[in-house]
Amino acid sequence: MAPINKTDPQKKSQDRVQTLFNDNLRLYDFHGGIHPPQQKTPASNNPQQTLPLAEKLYFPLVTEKGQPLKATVKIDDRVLTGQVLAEDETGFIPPVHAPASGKIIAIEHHTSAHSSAIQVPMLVLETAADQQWLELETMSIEQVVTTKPEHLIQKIFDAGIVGLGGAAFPTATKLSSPAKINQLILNGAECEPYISCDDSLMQEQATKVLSGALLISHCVGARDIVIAVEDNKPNAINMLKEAREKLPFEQFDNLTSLSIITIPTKYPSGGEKQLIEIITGKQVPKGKFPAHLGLIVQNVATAKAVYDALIEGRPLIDRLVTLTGKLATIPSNYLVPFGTPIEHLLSYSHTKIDQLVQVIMGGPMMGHNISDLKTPILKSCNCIIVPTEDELPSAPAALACIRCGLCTEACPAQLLPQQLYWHSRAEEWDKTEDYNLFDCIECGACAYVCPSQIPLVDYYRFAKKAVTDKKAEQLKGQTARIHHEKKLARLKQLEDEKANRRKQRAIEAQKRKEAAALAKENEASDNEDSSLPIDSEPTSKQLDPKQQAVADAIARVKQKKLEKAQAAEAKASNNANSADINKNSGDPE
Amino acid sequence: MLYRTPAPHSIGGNQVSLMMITLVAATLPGMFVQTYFFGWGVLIQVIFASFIALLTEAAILHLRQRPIKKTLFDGSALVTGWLIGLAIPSVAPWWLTMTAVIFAIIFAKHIYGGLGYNPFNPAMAGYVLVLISFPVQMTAWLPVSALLTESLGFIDSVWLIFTEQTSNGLTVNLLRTGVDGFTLATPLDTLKTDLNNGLMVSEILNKNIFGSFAGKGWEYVNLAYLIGGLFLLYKKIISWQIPFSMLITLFVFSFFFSVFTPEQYPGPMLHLLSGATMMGAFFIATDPVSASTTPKGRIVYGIGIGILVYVIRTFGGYPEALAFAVLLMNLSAPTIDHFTQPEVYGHGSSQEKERTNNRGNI
Repeated sequence: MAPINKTDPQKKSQDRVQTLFNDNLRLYDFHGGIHPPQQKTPASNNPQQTLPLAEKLYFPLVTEKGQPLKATVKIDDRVLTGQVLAEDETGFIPPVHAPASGKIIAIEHHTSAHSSAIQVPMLVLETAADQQWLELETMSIEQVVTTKPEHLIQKIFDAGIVGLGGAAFPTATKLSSPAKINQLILNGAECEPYISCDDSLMQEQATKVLSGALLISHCVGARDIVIAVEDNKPNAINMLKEAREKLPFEQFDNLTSLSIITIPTKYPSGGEKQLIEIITGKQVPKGKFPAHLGLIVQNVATAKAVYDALIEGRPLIDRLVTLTGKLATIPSNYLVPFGTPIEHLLSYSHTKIDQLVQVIMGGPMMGHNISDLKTPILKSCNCIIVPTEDELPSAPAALACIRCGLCTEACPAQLLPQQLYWHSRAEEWDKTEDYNLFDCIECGACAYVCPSQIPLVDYYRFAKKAVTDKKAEQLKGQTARIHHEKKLARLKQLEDEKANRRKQRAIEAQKRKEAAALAKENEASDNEDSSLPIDSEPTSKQLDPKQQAVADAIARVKQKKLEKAQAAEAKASNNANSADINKNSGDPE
Repeated sequence: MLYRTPAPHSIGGNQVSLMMITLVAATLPGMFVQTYFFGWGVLIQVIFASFIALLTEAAILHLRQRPIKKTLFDGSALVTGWLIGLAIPSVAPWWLTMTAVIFAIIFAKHIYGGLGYNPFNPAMAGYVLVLISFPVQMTAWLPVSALLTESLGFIDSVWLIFTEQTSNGLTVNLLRTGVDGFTLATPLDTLKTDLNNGLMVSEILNKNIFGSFAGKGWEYVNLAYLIGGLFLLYKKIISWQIPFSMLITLFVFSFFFSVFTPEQYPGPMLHLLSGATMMGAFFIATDPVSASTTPKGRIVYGIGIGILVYVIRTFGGYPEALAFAVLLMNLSAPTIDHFTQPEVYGHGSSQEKERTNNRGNI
């Protein structure tokens, strides 16, 4: 924490910079992992492109995790670029901003990007011809480093920033961990095949990425920054190293190192837990966050978004998305405004839409299929793959598990995927938990190596859902039982109270009886006592009107009955008379 | 219409059928060396056993109303038949092979639910059934071709297997008789009998059925299977734990016994290069379905087989022990698996320490 000696700034800062650039860190390995074909080219080599605005943009009012968002605009509202469209009332999920100026024309149900392709309500923004930004509040780096971290983290939240690596976890929440953070790990591994948006970002905007990292380290008080990039991205590594030379380190006195390290290409090295193990050799204890080890991991794109938010005041409204696959005519990384339907990206890039067999949102290992091309691209979408049938063939029907154990060797979480599979299949949920089902990160390495082509991850997802449901059910049952027990206790209390009152009354009655008997005795002995008649008088008086009313009612009913009977009698006699007449007329003789 | 399948959308090139075929291919060196030393009977047995295995599998799949084509070509039945063919004496009568194969496919495999569900190694279950039921035929190994008084051609081998005598009327027992008029047994068998008769190891090893390291012919057969096994390891069809732990255990046991009483217990070379040691270590004990599945468990499993092989060979009633050792360890595999679960990420004991160390920071 010792401040840099300020007497000879020029010399000192040069010396310091030399010690900062420590790129020879000892690396570790994580268990398992696979080496699928990379398929990152040609998209990673092609220059970035900016996707023009679509006619209509769609913003779900429910997050992918099912959290509802509240629209802050109404139908027919005109919005400016950067204006907040929706926010989370619980304050957990950062707000959604308009990536373009235009008019809200509807709130309708459309297919969401969730793997279930569920229909959710979405704001529909019709983009206008003339685009205008909301006024942005810019800051210089000097201003940022003198601002309190809490303010900066609030700004990051307000800018709508979430983890752009794919999980879309709110960045502000991650940054405001109470634990002391020593090291910031910037994740540029991008280990999944096909995806190259982080590669492209590091190549073209290395300075912003690194500046973002410095800003984050300031927010959390981290003294060491490690940027990890897989060795299949030499250009990105070179650009980062070049950009590092010109960073304003003098503004960040507490920083002690900024390392750019090359890690071996192995899927899933970009998984947060795996990356931590590669760099520190430590494993995040079960149920803990990386902050527990004094670490924080951020994606490179998130760092760039933080830079945009703090320095330029620009909220997160777009991101780089890799469009790739053999059916993509121009595979490249596109800067896509959020809310853009996939269809727009495909038609702009001249993709052969009529030949599509499947569309994958995300990578080939963890992404999911999209069935509706109107599905909007959101913050968590890093890649759209449009493969041919031969390129990523649909898996053949699964064969029997032969217990070969290749999955165990591939599992980065050191689980026994095969045992999990047998127990999931048998619906032995307790057993799946014994085998640590919830430590599965769903990376798909097990299914990738499975010689029987068993969709293992699907079994685990199903099992996780079943276990969660079962627990919810148990909790519900428990709550119901507690409620029931409380109700019984309440009823018993009422019963007891009643019994007590009854007892009390009995005692009182007894007392009264005794008193009456005593009074009678007294009366008999002394006629002047008039307390008893007075006591009983109010009750008789009270009863009187009731009795009267009852008697009246009875009388009225009796009266009515009598009237009815009389009327019926009269009618009957009338009828008889007429019948006689008829009879007479029908029979002349 | 866009299709939707669960992730991952990219799958590696591993296939059960490919693994099985590679396994069969890896036995070829051993099979050819075996054929060279023990005659055409080896090839005939392998082909016959594989044919019966596929036929039985198809019939059972038909009865169980399972997709015949898909399951038949997973290659597992072929491997079972193939291994039985290699394990059975080359001149064993056809009905013996057929009994072993049919039992293996129907009772050791399909009764339990087919591939993936069998608790026992089917090939070894079939082998042990006929070994116990027909001990005479199952121990009637011919000596290496060079020691035969009558040479045995391909046609005669076929005759011998399917009619139990050659075209000129020789039976297996006649063929096994050496020039001195004594029946020639396998090296391990001879060793056992002679040790029981009070001979010393050095005397026994001087007999003409022994070669430079172990039994004549057998030593090269074992080396050929070792090469095939290393190929399997290289192709990652099997993992190193079972064969290595088994062979090392066998080495350690035979080494220590032979160091202290060399005239009573033969050395490690003989154990490693005799009988079914190498074939067992790489091709039979590694059957994934019936073996232990955890990495540590596989080491325990291999050690268990190594110990049992040594103990049964040295102190038991049978000269060869691999089939029994494998079946006994098959029984223990689920228990071994239960106690050898790997440490899951973030669950380790080192993590506990980490937790207490870092508590001060939070």
